[in-house]
Amino acid sequence: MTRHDATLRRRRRRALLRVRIVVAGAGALALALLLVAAVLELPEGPLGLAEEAAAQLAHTGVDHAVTAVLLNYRSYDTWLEVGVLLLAVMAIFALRGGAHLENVRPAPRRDPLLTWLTRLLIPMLTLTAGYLLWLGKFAPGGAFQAGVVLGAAGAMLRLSGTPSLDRIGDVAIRILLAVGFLAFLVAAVATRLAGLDMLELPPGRAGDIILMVETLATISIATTCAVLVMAMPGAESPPAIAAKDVRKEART
Amino acid sequence: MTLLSCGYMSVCFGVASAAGAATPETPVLTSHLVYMLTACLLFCIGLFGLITRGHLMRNVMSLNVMGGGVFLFLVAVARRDAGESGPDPVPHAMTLTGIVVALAASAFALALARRIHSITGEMRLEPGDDNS
Repeated sequence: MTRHDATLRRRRRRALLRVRIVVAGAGALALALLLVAAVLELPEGPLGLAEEAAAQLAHTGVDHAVTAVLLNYRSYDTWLEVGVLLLAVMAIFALRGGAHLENVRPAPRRDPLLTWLTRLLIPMLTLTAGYLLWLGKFAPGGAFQAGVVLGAAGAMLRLSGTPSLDRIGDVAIRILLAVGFLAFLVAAVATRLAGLDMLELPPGRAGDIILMVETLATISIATTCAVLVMAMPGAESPPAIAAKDVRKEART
Repeated sequence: MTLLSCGYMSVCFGVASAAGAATPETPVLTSHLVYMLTACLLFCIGLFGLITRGHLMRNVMSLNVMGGGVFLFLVAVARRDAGESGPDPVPHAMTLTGIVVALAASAFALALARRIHSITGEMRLEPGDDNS
């Protein structure tokens, strides 16, 4: 009786799955055709803002159009995107129930290759991040690239069992996470107080302001990327969890 | 499954080339057009995977495939709309920030998936769903 029921249920589930695949396939195929038709129907010729962006480049304080878009023409977008990163970290902290990072497990002792590689790569990654940040003024580079490289350095420190952000304290981590968003906020308020539009940078000082905001944004993006790795729920070592559970059981 | 997606892809490519040949006003098949069509296909493959797969890890991967399609499309559009001074910087800037935001969103999705796993013991939303 029960075995018969189970077979019936499994068969029904399989039929449902088949229906789902067929419907999803038909839907995805229809959407693909629609998108392809839309791409083929796109009006011809350059339609973007390449010329407009190039025409005003001299007043933006930087020499690279992408950096100008990110931190001058459309800095409001970038501000909110830094805010999205902050939100993601806050959501993960909320899932964990606090901003406290578990201290890293000590690395396996006497692993000369890992130690050597970490010692070699961390300074190089830091140097590369700084170079990318500076490069954004006149070539592809800037806060996001530099931040991700520096964040990768943080993730590597974590994976190799070297203490880093997990030893600096909750308050310091919160400050590092928020400093990029705050830099944009200060720039927005300051430009309003100076009688300009929000985040309208005066051409004479735009270069300095952009470099400052970008540096702080790099710090925040790097900390965010590293903390996303470090604060992932369940990233504690299995023995620690087991010990905690045992203690909980003993108490109850 | 692999066979199905391969068949799906080849059908899409066939339809794309047929549509390109049928409409006389379409421009010559330029490289950015190929990238844009591939981006559309990537997006739809990701969507198909997102709907049909039950495993949460695979759902996050499907979302990233969809995102990859969008980024590829934006970069191809930037190349298409290149002016005298180089590609259009606005889609480039959007892609750049989009990648980092997609990274953060994926990390959050994985954190949610791990939380679901730690509560229910399963990496899926519907308990009896044996579709991985």
